[in-house]
Amino acid sequence: MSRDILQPITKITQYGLLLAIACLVVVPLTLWAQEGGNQAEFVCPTLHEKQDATPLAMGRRLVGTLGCERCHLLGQGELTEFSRSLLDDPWVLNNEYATWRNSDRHAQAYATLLGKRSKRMGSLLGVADVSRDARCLACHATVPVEWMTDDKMMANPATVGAILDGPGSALVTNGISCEACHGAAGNGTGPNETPKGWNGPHKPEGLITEAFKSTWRFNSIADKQATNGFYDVRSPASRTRMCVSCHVGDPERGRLVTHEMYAAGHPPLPAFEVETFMRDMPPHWRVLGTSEAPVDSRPDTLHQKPANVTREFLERTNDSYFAKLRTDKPALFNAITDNFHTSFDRTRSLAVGAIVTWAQSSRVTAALASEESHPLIPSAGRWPELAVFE
Amino acid sequence: MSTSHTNWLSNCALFSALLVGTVSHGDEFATSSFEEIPPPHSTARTEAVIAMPKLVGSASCTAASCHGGSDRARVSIGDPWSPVAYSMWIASDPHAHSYSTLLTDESARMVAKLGLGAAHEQQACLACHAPEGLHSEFTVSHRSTPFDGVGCEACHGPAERWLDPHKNAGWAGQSAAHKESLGFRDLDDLGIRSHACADCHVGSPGRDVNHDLIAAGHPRLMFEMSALHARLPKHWRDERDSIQTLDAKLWSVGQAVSATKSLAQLEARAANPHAAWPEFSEYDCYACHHNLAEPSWRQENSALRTGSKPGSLRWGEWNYALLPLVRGETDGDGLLAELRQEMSQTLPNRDRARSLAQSARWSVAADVSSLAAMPLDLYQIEETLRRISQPELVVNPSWDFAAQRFLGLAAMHYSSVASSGQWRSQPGTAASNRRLSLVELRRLLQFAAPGEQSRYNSPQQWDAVRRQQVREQFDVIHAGVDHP
Repeated sequence: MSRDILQPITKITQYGLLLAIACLVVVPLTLWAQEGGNQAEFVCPTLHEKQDATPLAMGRRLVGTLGCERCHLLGQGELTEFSRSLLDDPWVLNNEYATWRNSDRHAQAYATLLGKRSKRMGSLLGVADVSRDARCLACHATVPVEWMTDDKMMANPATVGAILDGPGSALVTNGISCEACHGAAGNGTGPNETPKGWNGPHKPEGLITEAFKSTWRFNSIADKQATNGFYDVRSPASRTRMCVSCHVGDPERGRLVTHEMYAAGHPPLPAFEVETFMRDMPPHWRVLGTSEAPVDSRPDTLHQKPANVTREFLERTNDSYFAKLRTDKPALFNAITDNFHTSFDRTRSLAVGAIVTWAQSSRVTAALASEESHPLIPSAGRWPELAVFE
Repeated sequence: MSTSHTNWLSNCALFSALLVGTVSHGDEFATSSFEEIPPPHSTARTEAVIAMPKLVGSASCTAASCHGGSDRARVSIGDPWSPVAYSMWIASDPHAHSYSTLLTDESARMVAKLGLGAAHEQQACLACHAPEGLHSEFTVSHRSTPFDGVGCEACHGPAERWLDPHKNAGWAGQSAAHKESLGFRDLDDLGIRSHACADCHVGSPGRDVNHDLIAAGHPRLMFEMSALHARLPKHWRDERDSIQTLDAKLWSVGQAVSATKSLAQLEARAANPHAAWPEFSEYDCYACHHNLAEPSWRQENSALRTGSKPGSLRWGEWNYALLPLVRGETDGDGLLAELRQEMSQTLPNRDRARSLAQSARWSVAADVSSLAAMPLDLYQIEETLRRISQPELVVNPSWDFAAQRFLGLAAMHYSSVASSGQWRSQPGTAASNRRLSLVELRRLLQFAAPGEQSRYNSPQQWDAVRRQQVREQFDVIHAGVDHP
């Protein structure tokens, strides 16, 4: 774990780090202490509240990636008045889909299962077809593992086949696509298609108006998640929780690389650190704030929100962290806002992410050490599971 | 002893030397029964030893007119090596250095890793490296004698009561039982001799080269009686058993004794709630210890084994590989099948493992004395050669299994040529071809290629190609058996 924490430190300005850690520890402690006077809430409030919310488990349908291209892959067709307005909007990049499709390895997650190594693993493990096995697809496709299991039993090729041979096949073949991280975008299956998904609300009707900004863009991410199933990838804890579900493991969702899989040839899961891993992704997002010099040599000014956009966000967002800072500590808030440095957000993410990663790792160990067998945890009741050892 | 005998023993040593080279590092044959559960083969006799006659120290044997002479006896009465037994031991027997091994930098590094004090003060180390120095209250002088290493009495028994009688003229005519009642160990009995070696070289309660020790740097124990016996500079003449069949018999008795000791060790480990469990030294080293490259021959191997899945702990078979063959079992692994199954669980049940090991040990222990007493002839030796080399013995052997087959074949080969008088056999004869195959097998089984500087303590390559090459040599030997 210490290695996780130390790795990015070399990449982040030392002074920024110290400042940010000071802010990180002092500010939230003060805020939470004022709010409830209960420090226990600081231990892991986000984790505690959201531990069962994952992008795919919020009771909504998946819509797939086709609709995303319309706005997030501009330049494909004729520019409309609306798309032209998006080009002028510094909030979105307009090429998110292309970045993911062309350069993000998550898009290859399913294709990996068709490769030579995967076939070899399958034959060693006695798995007929790894590209139709729930234990593999749980992380290599954008389908909740519950869809692939029959009466809570393990891997049912027929059920997976039904998805693969049906209209939803792209959810599998696209690997880890938009909704795997951002949440299922469709409406739910309740009366009148409730709960409502985020696919509708996140799109402006016509040009981007102040009203749209108020109802969606600067609405709190917590509210978007609770109301519309738009998963919170902005808060460090929530974001890390989403990543570690696969990158560390999430036995309750059938996501687990067992010692058996390693022995058969699964590459080792590298020690996870959320900021390092995000830097290794081709970013399809813009970070808050600016840095005078790009960290390492990568020119990432394109992926920073311009100063005016950052300021507008900080001043208007209903995200609890910044909202509380704004009302409770205006002086500090102004000091931060006037020169918002990317390392502020990144270091916060680094530290919170380390805790969340550690917590997830502990949950995995706890689940595996449990005496009870579990249909989605192939190793349960077979302690020691050697995969959790060095 | 004839000169040719000496030659073929040194040949035997050559065959075995490289293969078991890793063992030679801490080569100490020792026994003393201080903390030991009685060897089941001779309960009554061993209890007499446990009645604790005291140690007199190896120095008592060193008189020039006793065992510290400079030349072996010119007369043919008794053992001609007896006058120089101590001189040979101190000059060329590695057991004489087993205590000083504890003073090396390597030992210091080991104990440092284990968080222990000086190695030469650790009971766990002294138990094998200087068994006579372990309990000063058991010495006549009330002083421990650690510098002896594995000295005379470690194998021959504490001499307090037999030191004087054994100098008398009538000693040679005394019965073994009488001698043992005085604490003198009857090492002419190959079962007892094998137990004496295996006490340390396989292990016994209190003498446990467990995974902690191996991880800290202690060489893995790979005991095979006939191979190690051949490497020992002998200060005696073997008389009771036919010298021609000695290797064959040492091999078969050794197989049973190794299994007995190993099972007893497993029982002790399972029974001790403070001992690590699962104890990893019970398992096949090379199932885990390898680079993590993919694809690799180890992944391939695990898939080829019946009932084995990738990443599972594989119970070690060094001490059991050819036990069914030695016992004449026709149903393969019958005796150990249940225990193997239990030990293959990720977390074996201690009680079950202990009781299964115990009942298996009782069965094997009963075989030791009958194997030691059984006269062997050329027919049986050739038959054993044929059976060890039979192609269907195991399709995809582990390195341990193949190495045990090799050692068994080598022992049988020596006894075969000794019995048939084919030592100087001409090229092209069956014995000569078999020798070439054995040389090739040794090369194939070596951890590192000759001349390679790096010290690999595991088979670098044990893939389908290598296994096929090994299989071909076994086939050649099998086809060449001159079955009467």
